[in-house]
Amino acid sequence: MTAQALSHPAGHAVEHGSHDPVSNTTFGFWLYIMTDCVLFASVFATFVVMSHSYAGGPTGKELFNLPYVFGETMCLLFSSVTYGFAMLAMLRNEPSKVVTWLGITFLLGLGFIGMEVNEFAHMIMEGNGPERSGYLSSFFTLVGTHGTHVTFGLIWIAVMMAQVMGKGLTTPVRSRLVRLSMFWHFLDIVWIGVFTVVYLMGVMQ
Amino acid sequence: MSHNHEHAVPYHGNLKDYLTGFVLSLILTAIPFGLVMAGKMSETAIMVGIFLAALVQVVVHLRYFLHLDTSPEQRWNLMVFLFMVISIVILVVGSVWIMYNMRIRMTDYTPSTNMNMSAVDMPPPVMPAQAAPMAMPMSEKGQP
Amino acid sequence: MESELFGKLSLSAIPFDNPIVMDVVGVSLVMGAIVVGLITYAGKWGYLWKEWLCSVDHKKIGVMYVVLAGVMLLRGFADAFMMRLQQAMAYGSSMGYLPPEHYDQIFSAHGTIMIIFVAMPFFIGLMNVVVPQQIGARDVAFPFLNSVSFWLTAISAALVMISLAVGDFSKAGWTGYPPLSEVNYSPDTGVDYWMWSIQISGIGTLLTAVNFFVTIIRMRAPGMNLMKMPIFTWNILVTTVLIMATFPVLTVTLALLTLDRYLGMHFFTADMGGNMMMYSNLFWIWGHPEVYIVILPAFGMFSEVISTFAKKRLFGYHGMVYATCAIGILSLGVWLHHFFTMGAGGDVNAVFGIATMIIAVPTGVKIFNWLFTMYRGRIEFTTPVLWTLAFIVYFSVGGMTGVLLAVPPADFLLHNSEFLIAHFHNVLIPGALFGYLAGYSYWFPKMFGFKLDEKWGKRAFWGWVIGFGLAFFPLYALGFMGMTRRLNHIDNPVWHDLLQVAMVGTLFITFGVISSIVQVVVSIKNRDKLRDATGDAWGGHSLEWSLSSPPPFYNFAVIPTVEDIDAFTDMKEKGKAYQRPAKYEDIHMPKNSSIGVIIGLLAFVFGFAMIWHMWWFALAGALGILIAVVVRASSDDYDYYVPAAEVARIENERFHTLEAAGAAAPSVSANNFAYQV
Repeated sequence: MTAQALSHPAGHAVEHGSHDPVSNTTFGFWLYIMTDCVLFASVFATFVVMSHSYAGGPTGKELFNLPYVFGETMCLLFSSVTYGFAMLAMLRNEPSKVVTWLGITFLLGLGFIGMEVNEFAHMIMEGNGPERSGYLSSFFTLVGTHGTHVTFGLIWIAVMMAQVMGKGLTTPVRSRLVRLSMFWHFLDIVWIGVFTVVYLMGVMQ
Repeated sequence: MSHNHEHAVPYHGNLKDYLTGFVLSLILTAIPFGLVMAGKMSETAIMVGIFLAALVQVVVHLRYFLHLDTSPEQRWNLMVFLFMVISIVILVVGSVWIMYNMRIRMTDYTPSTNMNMSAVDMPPPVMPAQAAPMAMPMSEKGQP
Repeated sequence: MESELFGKLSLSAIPFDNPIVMDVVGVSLVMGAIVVGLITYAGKWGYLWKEWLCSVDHKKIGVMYVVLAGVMLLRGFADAFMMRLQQAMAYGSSMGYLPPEHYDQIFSAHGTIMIIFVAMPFFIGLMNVVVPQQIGARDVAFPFLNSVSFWLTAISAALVMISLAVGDFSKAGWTGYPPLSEVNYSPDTGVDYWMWSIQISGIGTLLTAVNFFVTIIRMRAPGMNLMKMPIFTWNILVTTVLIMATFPVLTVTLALLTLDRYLGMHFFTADMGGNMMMYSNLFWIWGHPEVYIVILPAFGMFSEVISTFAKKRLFGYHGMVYATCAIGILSLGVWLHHFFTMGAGGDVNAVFGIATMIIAVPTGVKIFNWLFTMYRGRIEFTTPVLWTLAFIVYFSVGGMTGVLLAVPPADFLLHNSEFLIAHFHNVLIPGALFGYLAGYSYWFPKMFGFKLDEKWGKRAFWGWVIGFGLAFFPLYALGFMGMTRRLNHIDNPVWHDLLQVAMVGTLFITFGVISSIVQVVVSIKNRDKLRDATGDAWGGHSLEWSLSSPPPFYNFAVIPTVEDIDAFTDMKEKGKAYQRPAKYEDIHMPKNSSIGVIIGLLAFVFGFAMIWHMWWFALAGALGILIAVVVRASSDDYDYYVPAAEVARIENERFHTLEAAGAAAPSVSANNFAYQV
């Protein structure tokens, strides 16, 4: 929060109280991510409990297309790595490379969201929307919650591209890039849970 | 890169980590998809396989992408993470146990219902409001 | 039905035909107008906006939380009074004065308000004021986030209050069980008011917890390792962990209900594969730890109060810390005891029943530690001590009835009876509210610079203590006699007399509540006599008492070094208290920001618009929040330095006052005994 303190002359700031503001922020963001894990865990638990509540509607086996899901997974996995390259460019102090890699990450994330929206749209048009059964409610909610997070991640990436271009790699901008990296990688971890529990288990039922 | 920045931004990524993580993740994604799409093994074996792969991949991501390790500066991050894992296990296992127990007890009991079946083999659940006679008036009245 | 512009909102949403509601609304409007008029007359709007509403100072945010809790306590208590009156009146042929649909709203609002908008802001307010001072920090880790948290809580309380005048509040109880809370059975906006107000304030609470966890872990004064941390801070630490572990579950529970109500999904509906039992399960995964979230801070306050006024170190500090942690962890694994009767098997019920009983063990450890702290202490019977003593007695009874309810077969008889009502009031009123009131009178001088009037404080105490006994012990008996909760009419003559006794108890509590209000007025009038000149009003043990009352905005001119659990007592004993430093340095502080208020107002717009289905307006609110967050996240201008000269000026004034009070001399310990009742 008070990252600017560090750009002051060294003798100026005797900071017993807030030893290292940037690492406070990083730690705080880590805590937020942990609470988000609990949030996802609750949705996962709900999904598992409702995983047989088809109410006469379609099952996962009838709905899911595994190669398609594999494509989505690859989008996210590649975007994790391209984000990592953006961070490595940041460590090398190359703002234009950072923006390029962030841009590629953005496009991969957008591809993921596009595929997901497409999947949802198909299901809804075929009459298998979230109001069809308890199972589909929990499917749309779990996958949609992840998708919403990714969407916010995309907005954040766009904001950070603008900040890197406008401000350069200042300490606050770097600190925000670190936090965004935590967020982005965290979303990939949640996706591991989603493709395992929702899709792979879904087609086996 | 000045020392100041290294101190200011606690970030430990490097190229080797990212590439290792990427390759491992690729493998650990391909295995479960392959197992399920091939469908050659028993359901239980596939289940165990995909869960193990997921678990290992989560650890890979934490280690190589989020750079979580046992170093002193990461101690609190790790402690908080472990506590969160415990909370989530209590939450998920508790919920599933309770709701599964409730489902068994409230589903119409027929002699063919084998209590020893695993969750996966259970017939599609009949929700209490539809099954239990005492809940019937509620669900009938409830239709708009 | 729904218009594009105003959604479900129309003039008919205002209950002009309900005289009781309209009277309340009228009185509220008049009181609001008086407050606005007074502020305008005094020309204080600019001051209020700049120095309070936009403040990121943890002490001011804390005071605002406490004020919010106080206002909502009056509302929640008024609801309680109305329920008691109805149950006392509506007997036999009399139907009382409240029609059922109004009565249902009152008990729903009472529970929601008391838990979410009284207990939570009360302890969060006190922890805001106290925790940074206790650990030797100048502010919290994320001061701006703190302001956002407060405003999210405040506007949620405003949503509940507005439901009085515009539309209805929920009739589905504070737990909002489906299918009753589903749109089929509760088509009006009541459940939406309940849902969105809890949802938005819950997000504020979660952010506060993250904030304080980082503050406590990262910003303690040098030398203060975890096992030298003041006991109140320890309790807050465990509380924040519980909030982080459970509030996301509440968020999900309410979000799923929202999806059911707004998008026709089937999580908790009675048909189409919905599973309403999952709601109870999720709700109580949050709901049970929530009980400990509101009680643990009060435990911390009792510990501080009792060790200060017994003039001893807290007995069994380490045991206390471990007991607190044990309670915290165990509380995550007992939620099923809220629905033993839902139909789980004997094995499941037994596991959760036994886990519940085990919690009594660390709690018992705490009770004995408090008793041993008092043993051979020189106890001063001030108001905070009286609250603590009443707590120990009453809470033990409440805890034991809780163990009784933890036995599943007993619970099958007592579930949802007045026995349950008596039990949870018996733990929450003495356990949480008495603690907050003790903490409030204990830290009041730290917040405002003068003590509270003792005479009226004791009157409030006796009103509450006698009233509590009369109002709630009859309910235990009524529960055994078969009376269920939430009845708005009684036709069993056996219950009638005990309900009259409970009504008398309520009158005593009313006297207590009024006394608390009078206490504030009298104390402000006599503030010069009650002035806390040294800043160490009671001879306190921890660092907040080393500061002036109220402390300067930066708290510590020089961050102290801690050598003992009772850091300030240790300093006083070693003659290190009140020492002038050789020189002052510039102090790094956060800037005030109006974005916190703006995000709050936009969240209000969003919540209100969602409740009334005004989609364009909700979208505008949500977009506004997003833009405000991006603007703030792109700004690098959020801090400044207080020049050393300014610090020296403020500190010199402080030493001047100290010398006048005779405390700056080395032997400050004499001050410990200056205060006599």
